[in-house]
Amino acid sequence: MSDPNAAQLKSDLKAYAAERGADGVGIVSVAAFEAKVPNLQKPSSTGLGYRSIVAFYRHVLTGAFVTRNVPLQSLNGHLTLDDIERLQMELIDWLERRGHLGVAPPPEAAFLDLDPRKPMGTLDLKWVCEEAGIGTVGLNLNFLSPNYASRVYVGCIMTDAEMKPDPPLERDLCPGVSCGRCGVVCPPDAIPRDVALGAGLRGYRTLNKRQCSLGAERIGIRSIHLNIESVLNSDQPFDADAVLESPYMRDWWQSVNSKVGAFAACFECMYVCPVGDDYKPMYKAAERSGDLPKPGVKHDKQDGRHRINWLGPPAERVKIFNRDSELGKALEK
Amino acid sequence: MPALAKDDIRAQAQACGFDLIGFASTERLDSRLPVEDRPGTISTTLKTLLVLGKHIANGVSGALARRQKQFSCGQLAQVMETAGRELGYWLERNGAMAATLPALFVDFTRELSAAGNTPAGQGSRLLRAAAVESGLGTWGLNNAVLTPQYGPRVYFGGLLTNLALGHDSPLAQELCLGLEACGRCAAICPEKAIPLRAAAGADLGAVRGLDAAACLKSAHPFGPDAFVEHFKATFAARGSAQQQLIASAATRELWQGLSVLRQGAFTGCMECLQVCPVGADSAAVQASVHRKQDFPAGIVFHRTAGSVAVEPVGPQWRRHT
Repeated sequence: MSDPNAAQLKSDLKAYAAERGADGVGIVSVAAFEAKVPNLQKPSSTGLGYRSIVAFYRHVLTGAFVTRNVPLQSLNGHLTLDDIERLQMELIDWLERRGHLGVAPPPEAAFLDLDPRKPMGTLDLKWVCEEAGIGTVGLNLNFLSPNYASRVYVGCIMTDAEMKPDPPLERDLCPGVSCGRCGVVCPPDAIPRDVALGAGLRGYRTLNKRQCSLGAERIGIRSIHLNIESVLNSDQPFDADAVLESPYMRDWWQSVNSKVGAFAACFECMYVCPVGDDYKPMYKAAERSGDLPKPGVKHDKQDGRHRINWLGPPAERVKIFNRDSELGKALEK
Repeated sequence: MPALAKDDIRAQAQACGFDLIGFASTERLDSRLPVEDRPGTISTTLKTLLVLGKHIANGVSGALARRQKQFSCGQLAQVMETAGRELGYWLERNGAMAATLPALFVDFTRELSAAGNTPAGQGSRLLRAAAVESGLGTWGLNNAVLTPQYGPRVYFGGLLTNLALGHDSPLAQELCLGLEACGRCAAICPEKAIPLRAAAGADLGAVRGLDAAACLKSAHPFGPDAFVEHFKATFAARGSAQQQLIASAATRELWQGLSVLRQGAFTGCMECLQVCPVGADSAAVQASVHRKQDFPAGIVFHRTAGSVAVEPVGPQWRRHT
């Protein structure tokens, strides 16, 4: 594409997005992305006529990661997500004022329309961002940016404006199991720890999403299901006062009210990821010492497999992750 | 470390929409606050707590409808969260680290109820204490923070930063007139949660207090604690009484507080804030039609040997129903 107007539009749009708070912005061709997506999380599921996807990310305030307070971090994460939605609206408005259409795929919401068995977003934003060349997807299927690793939230808009797509990054930012830190500390052990020896990251990166949800959405929908089950399956007689007075109920109230705890509630893999310009100052902070418990990552390479150990999070944070049967346990007290 | 000065930050905070900003050293707060409120338990890397204040609009303070005011104050809390985030990103663009400190969010893994957010919805215990320590105001009879500019009609938010900016000095004099000389907040409180009696001539510090559990019945009428109590009562009831509770207005209000009002779930009452005569805004607020009707017979004091008591009047919404 050599349309000078399109080139100017792209340049101006990127400058505007950066001015409004995007830490990285890239352009994806709708047609090229559509052809790559194996499921229904493709642009045509939203609508036809879009030519470009504008993908971007914004970092969570770095100060949040030098605290010991996980709910505070979660709140800061949700504030960043609010910013992602603001940026989406501002970019659409900017494009409309220049005669183009725009639509904002929801950055957080997961629907059952596309597959009744699996809630999913209308686009899988991590892949959009990797395609846009603003970062790459890591071992744990988190999107990693060059400057803030996965300590970011991502968003995109689709537009009918045609802009030259940006090339994906040539090298993965994530070292894979040769680093393995995220897999070692993941509280619900949801990240790959046993892969074919010598395999490339793209051949084995994945995530057990149901397991991950026990940490990342520990007062979210799966947790609610499991807690209700724990009450129904309890041997103890039902005691409404005991269940309602459990801290889980007030936390549940608040997770609906503020989203804190409902999702974006576990940061263990973000703490230990060594990628990003922000890592060094964060790692030096007293609050981050001990994130990777001793003995650290142990590599076992034999029988054609590359295995790493599992340690889980530091002992003082273990208790905050096990909330899947709290209501049932309240009946036993 | 970037060379941001207090004046730079103050100017940016004002550009973000804040009326007040105080600088509190977390080390100093740690030395003065009870362990559960110490910012050092959150972070030792973040050395300064920026206390950010924004006033409740005079039109809201002067209005009658408590639900309108609940909504408006919830809106204010939300706007402050956004503005605080903007300031945080500005600090980070200038090379600092920043984190938004929750103002009304409650960590129920540490707190048994949301009572720490009372009175009204001014902010957490930590934020109010930091506002006092950084000289934005002084404690009132009701444990609200009174400021020279807005009395207690101000909400507080906070940002923690790694910048070592030094501590602002606390105000030298109490702003609150106390029970014996004023007593308006105690007289109007719907829950009688503010001290109504004191020893004659007692210092404000010896009298001030708040029955937080009582206060939150009005401050968070459909908040998390009300949610638990309502459903406990519902499960305990039988027959038609249970049906009535399930279909009650409270059930609907709880849903609305939970999902629609959001921060507004914690801003259900501002009676003690709106009647306070302290603050440069007070004349405008007290001139409203409705504020003039708060105390038809004035404040009635009962003075006996060695003590003084204020007669409770209660809020207008209760007198009218």
